[in-house]
Amino acid sequence: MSNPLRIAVAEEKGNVPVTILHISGDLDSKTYTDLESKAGELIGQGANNVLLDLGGITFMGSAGLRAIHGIFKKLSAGGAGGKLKLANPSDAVARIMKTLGFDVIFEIHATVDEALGSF
Amino acid sequence: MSQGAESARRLEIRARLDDLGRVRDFINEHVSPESLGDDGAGELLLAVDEAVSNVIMHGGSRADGRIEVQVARSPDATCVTIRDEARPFDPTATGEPDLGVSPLEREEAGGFGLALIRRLVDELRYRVTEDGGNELLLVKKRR
Repeated sequence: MSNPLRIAVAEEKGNVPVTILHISGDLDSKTYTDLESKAGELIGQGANNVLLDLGGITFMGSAGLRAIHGIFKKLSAGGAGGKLKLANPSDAVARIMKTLGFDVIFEIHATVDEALGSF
Repeated sequence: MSQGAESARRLEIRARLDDLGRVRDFINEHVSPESLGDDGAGELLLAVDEAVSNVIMHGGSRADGRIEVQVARSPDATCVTIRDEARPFDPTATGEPDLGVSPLEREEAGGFGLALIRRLVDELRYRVTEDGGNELLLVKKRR
């Protein structure tokens, strides 16, 4: 069953403030722009350390990587040393990232807590 | 369709992104993890999603154009045929992107769909149909 994309935003104050996007549902060619837009909005409001929690994603195609790449570019363009990290990918999501070479580009953590501790 | 097919199922959708979820539901329903394994079934699902997305986003189809997806299973393989009315485009004839280059060094991270499809299926065949449309056959062999 296909699932609508949902994005829940949370803020964590650890070593540095981190904006977490908990993503659930299908991240496909129809919905990837929703993720990119939401992250862009948060970055525009000053989010500089961004963590994508991929744990709830039920389907992700190459469009999902396009969105993640877009978010990375927005953070890089800000000139404030913005960081993007990913956490909690399913086996299927981890596999597509590896297949397309994204696993060596992005910092991917097994859990959200581990990722938070790394900022 | 391949000889010896045990069963064939067919779905027709409009060429619009709103219908992508229906394609995935259809594939999930008719592609058996028992024959392909969980990984194999998931790879075929992803390949079909990429192929149909390409047709909708880059094929220049009218929004009311139609895309037909057919699944046929044989003892040895599962075959998915995608037919559309978009302008002729042979995805098997495109160059292979250099995946050794960091995706972040590219201006655009798009264009991965076809590379993914090639890696996810065992066989990819294309032909122009009698009425000038496209037909793409994806074959995933039983493991």
